[in-house]
Amino acid sequence: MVLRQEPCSCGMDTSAPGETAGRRLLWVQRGDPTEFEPHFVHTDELSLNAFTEALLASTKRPLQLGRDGDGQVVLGPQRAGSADRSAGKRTAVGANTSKSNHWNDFVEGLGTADFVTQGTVQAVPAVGENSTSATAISAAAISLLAEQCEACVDGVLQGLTVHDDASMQVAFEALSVPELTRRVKELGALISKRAHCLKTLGATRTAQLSATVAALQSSTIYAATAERYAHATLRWQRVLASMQAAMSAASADASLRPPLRVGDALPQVHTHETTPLHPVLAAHRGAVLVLLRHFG
Amino acid sequence: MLASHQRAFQHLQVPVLVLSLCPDVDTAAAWDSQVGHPFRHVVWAPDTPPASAYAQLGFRRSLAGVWSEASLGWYAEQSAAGVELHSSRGQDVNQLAGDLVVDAAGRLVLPYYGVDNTDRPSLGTVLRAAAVASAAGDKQALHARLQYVQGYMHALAASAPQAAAPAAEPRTTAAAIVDSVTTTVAASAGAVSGAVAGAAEEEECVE
Repeated sequence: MVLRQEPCSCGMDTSAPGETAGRRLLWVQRGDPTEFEPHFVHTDELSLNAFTEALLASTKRPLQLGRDGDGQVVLGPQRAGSADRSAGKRTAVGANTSKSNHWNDFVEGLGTADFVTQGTVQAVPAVGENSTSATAISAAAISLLAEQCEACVDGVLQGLTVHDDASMQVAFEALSVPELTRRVKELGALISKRAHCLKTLGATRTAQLSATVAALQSSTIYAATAERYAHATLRWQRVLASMQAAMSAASADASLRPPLRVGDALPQVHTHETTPLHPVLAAHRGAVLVLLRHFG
Repeated sequence: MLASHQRAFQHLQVPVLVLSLCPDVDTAAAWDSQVGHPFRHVVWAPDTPPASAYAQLGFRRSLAGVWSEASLGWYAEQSAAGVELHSSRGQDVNQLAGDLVVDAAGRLVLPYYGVDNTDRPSLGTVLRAAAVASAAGDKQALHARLQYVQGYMHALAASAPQAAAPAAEPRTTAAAIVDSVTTTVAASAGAVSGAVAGAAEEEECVE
């Protein structure tokens, strides 16, 4: 699928490329090079790139166009029963077709639907559905993240024959510790992916992402997206658990002591210049020892 | 961060010592410079590999604790907020960490083992444990120190509510921490155990 951006040819308010406010008209090509769908995108609070990425993910579901509360045309997820009007060739715009006429015909036939908007635009209740345009954006972002999660987990499992949890652990146990360490780092790519998702959602905390997924679960339209995300993260957890078991078996550390408990004596651990820690403590009335994780 | 509360630890006469996976003084100095904190960074002896020291203190390695959704989610939050994520410089990213509060005799008052990269005790919990360590069994001293901590936390909550508000629920439950600290306190200062139990009321994490 290819996205291309054009000046609006049907009288709608659009912004020049690079601007961060206003709306843009995106023609989304599906498969056949002559088939394009017109998508108006509000870009008030969301970068075009972020939306485009979300859109690419969301187009695995049918999309349709409608109007928001101001009468502006926006993109939204397809409403049940409208597939014959909104998807595929119905929205195709060939090179010799008048986009303006086609656009108007298309929009007129839609009526009210779910809408994709960007914060400042009033959410418009959909016919028969209570979801909003913001939900559509969220769902697209979550869908994309689920896909990326699956890809990262696939990277961890690459080349391994895995049928179930048992065979997964066997496969991991056959690997060396360095190889396990290398593979698990495949998941590190999810940091930037999740950060991107947070930005798309306008969120700052992971808890907000979780809340978004929970909200999607109660939606008839987006429950499948939430389910896909849940499945991806569950698979992530299972892979990690298997890797942990394999790692523990392979690198059982004889020097690892059980966790200390209240009242235990601090083991004699030597610090720089072979100075035991205890004299340092005795010089004061105790100490708070903050053990860091890795550098950074 | 604890760095913002150094005066409280100074009042309790319990210094904060930083221990890390840094293999030498230079690396430790680089970390100190990067983070900017007022505490002493204690480096392991040359014949004590950091990983070995951590293992002797009961800190384990964990893939699940580092690469889970919750763990990477924390880094994602940092990244989304524009915080630069630094290189681990080859150090073991799978090593878990935590906080140990010990008294002058080297006895554990609070052992806190983080179960993932974000799991740290609350500021109040650490301060109360430091108060216990500092009092060294003196009932009156303990009472005074716990009163100080309580006042400090109330003042913090009043001046910076978000700083005192829960940043994240420590994975090691507050109840377990309170139990462990209270165990130490109970024998000599039952009257102040209520103040210790206040550790469950606020949850600002150390890091």
